[in-house]
Amino acid sequence: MFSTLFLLGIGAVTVAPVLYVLIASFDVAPMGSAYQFGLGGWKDVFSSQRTWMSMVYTFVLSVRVPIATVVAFAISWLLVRVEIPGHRFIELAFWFGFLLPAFPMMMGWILLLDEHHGLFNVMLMKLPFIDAPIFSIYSIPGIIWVHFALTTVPIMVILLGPTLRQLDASFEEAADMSGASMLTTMRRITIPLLMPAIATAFILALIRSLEAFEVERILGTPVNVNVYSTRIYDFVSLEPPLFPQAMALGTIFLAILLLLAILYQAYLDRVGTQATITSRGVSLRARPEAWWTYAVSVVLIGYVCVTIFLPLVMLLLGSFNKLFGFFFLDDPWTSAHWLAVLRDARFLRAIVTSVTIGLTVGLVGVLIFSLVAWTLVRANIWGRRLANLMVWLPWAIPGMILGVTLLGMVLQTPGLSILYGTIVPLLLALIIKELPIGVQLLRGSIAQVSGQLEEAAVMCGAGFAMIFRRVTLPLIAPMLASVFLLVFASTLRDVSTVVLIATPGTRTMALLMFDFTLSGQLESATVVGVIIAMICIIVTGASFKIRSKIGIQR
Amino acid sequence: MLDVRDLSKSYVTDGAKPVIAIDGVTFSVEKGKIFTLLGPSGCGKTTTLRSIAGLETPDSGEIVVSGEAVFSSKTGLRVPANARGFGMVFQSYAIWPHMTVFENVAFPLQVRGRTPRYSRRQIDDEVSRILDVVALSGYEHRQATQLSGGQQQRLALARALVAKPSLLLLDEPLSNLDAKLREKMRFELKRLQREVGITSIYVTHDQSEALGLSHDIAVMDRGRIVQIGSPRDIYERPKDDFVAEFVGTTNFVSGEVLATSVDPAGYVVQVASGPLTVATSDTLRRGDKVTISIRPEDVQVSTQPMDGPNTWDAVVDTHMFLGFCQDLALAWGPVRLEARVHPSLTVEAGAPVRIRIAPERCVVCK
Repeated sequence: MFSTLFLLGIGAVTVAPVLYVLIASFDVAPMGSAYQFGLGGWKDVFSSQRTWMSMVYTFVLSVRVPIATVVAFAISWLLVRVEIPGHRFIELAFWFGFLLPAFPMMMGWILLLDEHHGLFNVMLMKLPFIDAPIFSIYSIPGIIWVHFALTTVPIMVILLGPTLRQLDASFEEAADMSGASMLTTMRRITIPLLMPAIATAFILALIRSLEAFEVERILGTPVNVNVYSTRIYDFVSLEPPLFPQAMALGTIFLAILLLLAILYQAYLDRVGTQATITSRGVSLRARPEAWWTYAVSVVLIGYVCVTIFLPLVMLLLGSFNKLFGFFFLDDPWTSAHWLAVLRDARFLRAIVTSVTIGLTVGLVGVLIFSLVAWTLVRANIWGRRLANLMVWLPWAIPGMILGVTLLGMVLQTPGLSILYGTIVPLLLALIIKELPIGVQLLRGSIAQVSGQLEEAAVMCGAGFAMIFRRVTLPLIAPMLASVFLLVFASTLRDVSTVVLIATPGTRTMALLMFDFTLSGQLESATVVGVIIAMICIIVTGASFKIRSKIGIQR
Repeated sequence: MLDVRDLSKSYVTDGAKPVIAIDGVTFSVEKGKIFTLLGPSGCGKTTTLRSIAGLETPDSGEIVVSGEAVFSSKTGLRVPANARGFGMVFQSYAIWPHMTVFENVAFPLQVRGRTPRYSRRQIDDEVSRILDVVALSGYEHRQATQLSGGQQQRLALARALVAKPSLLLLDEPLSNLDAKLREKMRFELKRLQREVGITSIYVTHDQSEALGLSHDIAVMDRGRIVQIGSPRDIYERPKDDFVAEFVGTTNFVSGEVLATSVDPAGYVVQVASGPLTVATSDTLRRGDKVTISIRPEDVQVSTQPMDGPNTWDAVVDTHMFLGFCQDLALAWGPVRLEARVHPSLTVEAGAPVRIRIAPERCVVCK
């Protein structure tokens, strides 16, 4: 009974939108008229050279994922196992880098690497032996770099770090004692034990990379680099929109992601998950005080400064520019844009909306995700494999399509249309959107808690709610804080999911920034970007403070 | 007090045949006694314990506590684990690492849905009473993970006992401790159990723990109970060679029944080294093939002449001095015998000795 309800619940929020996409891809009737079956959309998609090229570019751009996996594993290992000097700062910086909205950060990079005005290019060309610009951000390497620096590496470091920290060091110490060298231990012990986590990080980063949108849109379009998500955007934003084409392309993408999810699930089933947290605690190895740890530390601090803080500083400077990107005018600075934005009633409304949505989605989402994750790991239900797969589906749906789908559902279901114009559809869309990452992360975390810790509470007479609140949640508290942060930050910066649902009364800050950019007010957009970044800093700091106080005291 | 009737459970694994975990397990335990389930890993002892706890659901059978069923496959009754009111000590202790000692012990009092609920004061009192019993007073505000292995073990015990459960379930509670501590905790457990007077079910694969702690032992093998009896019964009169081998070390000598013997009442069994007189009340027939179990400590060894039944010449093959005793490997004709003798006996490898095996110490295993 419970199993059936659980499956139906998960199915309703995950499979329904997918079916909607599939069915709509065969609907060739004009907007607003009755359903009419046809293959027109599919034919167009397969006959378009541009669409084929967008698929190729999508995969070319995703080469950053395997590279980032190696880099991120090495960094996590240095941070957690070697505890290089400054490891706390570096880890915080990666969190911060990941949580910062990509859109304003990309503007920071444009200020640095633009072919004509980019600060790096301008400064390098002052050197005697360089007479042409070195960098060009509007290019495939440019797109790869922005993602690599701001999302791909940071997301993997923040995913691998906690898992590595939870891995009992005695496994590695046993290898050391067997006479294995550091590299052998890493290759034969650490990496195999962490393989499920590495696979999770890889697949999450890959999917993020496949559905990335804003950066490709801004940096790729000028040089004719289209990716799958920008093609969909093109189809949908045409007047009238080409929904069948968009949905057909969405279906192809969905099939690819589904295949990835099935492979991943099969892999996890094969290796199984080991409970590595026991009540006996984790022994940590001492930090080797060697000269090279300082050298590595300097390199990594340099890396995070260049990839994360430099574009942020540029962004901040840019927001005080009279004209965005022009630093070498006689009198380039002004605070006029700040004053204008802060006085704008739309901005004040947006800040309230954004924070409300962020906190609600964060808190409600974390609770729902952890219940779903617990059920998937512990409960004895039938259809577990199916549920596991279904949980992935929302990621297979591009944000924009999820938005359209929910909008359609809200407007077409009698009784639900009163929700239109409120923030409820936004909350729903965002919770569904964040379901996969939230559930996957918490699932891994719960699987690492030895089941006997919960059984002990059962034997004490505690009921489910009590056990969940007093034993399970506190034990996975650090991961709960991480998931909250991830969800909060994604919500804060999300454009694609909400862009079509939000009414003028429910514009978020990210949407406001998007609107400013579209209307050419780059300076105002930058101001909003800086404010979003500041909120991110505050929330990240607070979460870290809380996170260090909760969980297991060692 | 506890009646377990015809409990069976099998696990279905992917593709393969279902694995039978327990098969028709039946036993009963009197109030205030320690009952031990003893057996090698995979014999079903833990499944039995977890079924009693309510953490697993057997396929069939019945579990009755103080006349009230908590599980019955016939009526479909299954009282959930958290409503059975038992205490349990887990093999890993399952001490919650995010709570202090006090919080761990107070938990059962806080969550048990009884009326009236415990007041804060009562909780304080009960916790300090039980911490006193397990000698952890003064550790209330330590983080649970800062305790040593033995302390964690006692904490787990305190948590299991604090709400005065009707039944205490112990799943290999000593297996994570070092040998010395294990021995100490064994005495401690026995003292505590006597003090609290609680009916306990103890699961272990360690025969010395089982023999030392229990009032009754059930030896399990491949999902079935092979023998139930007092520690002395199990050790001195093992029902078959599995029990004899598992409960302590033993010598197995095989032979064939030659004739009945009158004094002592029993049989003469022809073994490879000669005729052996065996005292038994079992009914055997001439020509039956039997295995005889002889405990090493029942082989008397002397450098002086000895007489009486079952006295033979043998040669010391190897000897191992252990301090409190010495273990000898003897060549008794073609048969190899292990003997445990007093450390004062001085023998060397290769020396001839006399051995004697009392007929009532020869146990026939079928």
